[in-house]
Amino acid sequence: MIQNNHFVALLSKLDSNNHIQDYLFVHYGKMDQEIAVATIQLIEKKLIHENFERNIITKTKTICIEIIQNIIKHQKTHETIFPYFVIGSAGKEITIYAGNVITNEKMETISQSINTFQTIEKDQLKKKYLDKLRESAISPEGNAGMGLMDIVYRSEQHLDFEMKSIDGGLYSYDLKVELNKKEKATV
Amino acid sequence: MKDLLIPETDQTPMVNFMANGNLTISGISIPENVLKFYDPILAWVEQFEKELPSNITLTIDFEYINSSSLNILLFKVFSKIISFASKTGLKVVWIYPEGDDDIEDLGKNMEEVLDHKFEFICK
Repeated sequence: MIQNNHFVALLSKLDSNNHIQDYLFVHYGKMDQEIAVATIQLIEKKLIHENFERNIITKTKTICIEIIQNIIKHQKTHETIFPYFVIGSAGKEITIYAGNVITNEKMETISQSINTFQTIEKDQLKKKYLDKLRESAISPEGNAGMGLMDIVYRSEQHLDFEMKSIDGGLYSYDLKVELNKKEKATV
Repeated sequence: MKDLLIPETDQTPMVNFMANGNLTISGISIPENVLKFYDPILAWVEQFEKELPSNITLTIDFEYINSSSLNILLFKVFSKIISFASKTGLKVVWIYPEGDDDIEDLGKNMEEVLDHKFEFICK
């Protein structure tokens, strides 16, 4: 029997939505670079096995490594809530769910960045992405937020997130990214 | 000067930078510490600048890379190599797998940001 209520609640939530018909990968717990590398390798093998198109496989791997390395970089310890990373598919659509425990400061930074990127007009997305790349090319500080911008760009803004205050001045951060979608997802 | 040869790993690319001007970087770039990996490469490029050959071909063949690698490559390594174009012949070749418009798109974005024409080859 699974003891961790957070994990049980997470699985229940994922089961109740319509975005996943098949689970491709599920990880619950702290992450490190070794797990990140192994995860991407396994995801790639599964996507190849499921006959996904090459560019979708590349896009998925790129987004996954950004998400996982962000989790590693910002994860905070909590007694009952741990990071998670789930990939599911419905037909040829891929949905990535990820969660982390982060500080209040990170919550504000991430929320602001995603909200800014998500409000970019669709026909301006590529221009803004290139502007961010140029900013990144000018200084190492310009790289801040580049990972999130990369996720927003590659997913064509099919991204949603939620921040919840938990004890200890920390926040639980839940992210959903959809790939290969034909229409923009609703909340 | 000596050639620089760094073998590929499951998280870092193969780097084969030869003093004769054939520079190749290929594979995956997702290191946790990008500075630790790329600083020695930048040091080699800075040394290379002192003895530039008459022609340089930079061949880039990434499978996928993380944003931290993209930052270092744009901000330090590739921008430095591109700057050599004012002193010597420079060709940049971007290789991408057939059907992978994600990698092709990354090359086109880098071409635009670096403001130097790339030659695109589909493998």
